[in-house]
Amino acid sequence: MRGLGRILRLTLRFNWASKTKFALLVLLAAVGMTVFLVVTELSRVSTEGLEDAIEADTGATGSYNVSIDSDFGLGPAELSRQVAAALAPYAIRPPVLIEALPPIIPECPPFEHLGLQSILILRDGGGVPLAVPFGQDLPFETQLCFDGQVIPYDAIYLPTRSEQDKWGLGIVIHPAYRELVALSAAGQVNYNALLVTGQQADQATDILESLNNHFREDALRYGVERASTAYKRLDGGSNIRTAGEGVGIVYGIIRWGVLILGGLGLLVAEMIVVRNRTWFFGLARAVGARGRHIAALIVSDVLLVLATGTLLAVTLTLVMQPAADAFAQDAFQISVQLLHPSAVPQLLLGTLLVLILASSYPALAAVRQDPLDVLEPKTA
Amino acid sequence: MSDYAAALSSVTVAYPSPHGTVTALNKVTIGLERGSSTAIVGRSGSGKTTLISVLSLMRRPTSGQVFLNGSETSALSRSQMADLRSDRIGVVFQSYHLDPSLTATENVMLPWFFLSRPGPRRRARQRAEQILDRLEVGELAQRRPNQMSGGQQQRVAIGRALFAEPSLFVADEPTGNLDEDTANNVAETILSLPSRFGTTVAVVTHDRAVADMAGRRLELVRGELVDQI
Repeated sequence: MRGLGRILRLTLRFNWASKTKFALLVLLAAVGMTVFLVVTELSRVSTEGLEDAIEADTGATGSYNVSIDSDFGLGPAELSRQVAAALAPYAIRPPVLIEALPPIIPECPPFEHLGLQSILILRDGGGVPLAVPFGQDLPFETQLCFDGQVIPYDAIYLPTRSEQDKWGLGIVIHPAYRELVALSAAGQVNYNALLVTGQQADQATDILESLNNHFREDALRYGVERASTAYKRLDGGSNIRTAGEGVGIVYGIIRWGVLILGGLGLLVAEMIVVRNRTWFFGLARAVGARGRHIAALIVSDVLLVLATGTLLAVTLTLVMQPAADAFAQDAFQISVQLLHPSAVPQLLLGTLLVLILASSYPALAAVRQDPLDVLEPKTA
Repeated sequence: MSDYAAALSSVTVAYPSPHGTVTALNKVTIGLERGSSTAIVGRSGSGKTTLISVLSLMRRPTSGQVFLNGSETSALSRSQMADLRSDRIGVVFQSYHLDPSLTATENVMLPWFFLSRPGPRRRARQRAEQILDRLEVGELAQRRPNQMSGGQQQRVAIGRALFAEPSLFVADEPTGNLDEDTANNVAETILSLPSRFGTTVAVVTHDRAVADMAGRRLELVRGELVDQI
């Protein structure tokens, strides 16, 4: 808008003349914005932490373990790639192909007393060995022995309970030792694909159909009726997830509520400004100001307060960051970032919302003033 | 009507009120010649301020026509009327209406903030200072209204009305809040504008002394023009 610079200059001049009022309004805006940023970060870390915990305990939303009835002579690595291609429309992350070799009885400590053990080999959607922490928490002398062959501790991974729920029971070994185990074991190799759709709705039918369509020709060639006939849904804890979403909603109500309250505070202050400066708006109209000039005066007044308040809030959060992070680390073993990048768009949206809330009605009220009524209330 | 800086033709202004319609102006026809000074007198409630408000395009008449520099204004939009007020008309009020947070110079250059073709700020400031000098209050340029007397404030208000070099200058009881000596000084200042600035002046006043200083006097009684001298 033409003349916006002059209007801003006038607004600056007026606020410079009312420093106390300006400082108090900026403080109000800054407190509101700071609370908004802090609660936004609290909401982020708590919901992310909760989601991680739920996923660790009950699986990611829309997790499926789908059986693959044959490798169709493709070999495990190629089978992984083909399965990934078949499941791509549904997967939010690359599927994991679990190859379960026939059970064997380990022959050396500490596993020789455990009897038959399933051996698992995990590959990602590209056929590459899945990066699991081989050797983690295992004593250096740990070994898996078969027919005089040895798999060292750093090629062995013992899955956690939640991983066993997803992958099945067994010991995970590095694919480099696959042939060694395969030669020692007799029986059928089973394949399962681990898929995460991210959708709460059941998509099992579509997933199985996609797999069967993708491997139709391979299945016919191998005399297998279907590529996949069974699946197991792995995710649970829908009640916990719902509760977690509830926590997120409460945080949302708090932060947006604080912002709206701040906006209402500014609205009241701006109405007082309009009332106190009624004569000025009338005078401005009398000397040629258009309605948009008057509206711009009000909007720029709120904008100036909000911009300064937001800058102050950002500065405050940056100053508070080290202390807040140290406190969060000590108390909850979490890391917080008060000015997290994901909060910036929300902060801008919030600022815009408050600007609209606090300036629309006062601007309308100021524009509606009749210059004559406000300047010369008497009737001649 | 083209000979006049401003003219009213059979202008009527009526207001709704709880007791029925009040006619503030009743078919008033006047013409203000270019470079002339006119005093509008009358008792309270006679329609003086309404007449000024119509002349200064702050109020549309209920009926009749208003001409400014020969152009009829009833078809103009609110924005066009605002532009005319900004460029062609200067207004002074009884109660100065100077902004207490602005200096005298800034108050004079207030219209600059709303002009459609404002020019550089430095030039506007220079012009404001020149106007204050010509109104003999140049030494007050950096003072705020609360550091000035009533007469000085009114001169600054006159300076503000002159800032955009208006062809028409209207004043509503400009001496109403001033003592006699100051009122005479301010009245002299206003009524000398035609000779000093070439501006057409219309002044509403109930002060006979001020009215006598004008080149022409119009008297309103109950919204009707009864006397033209």
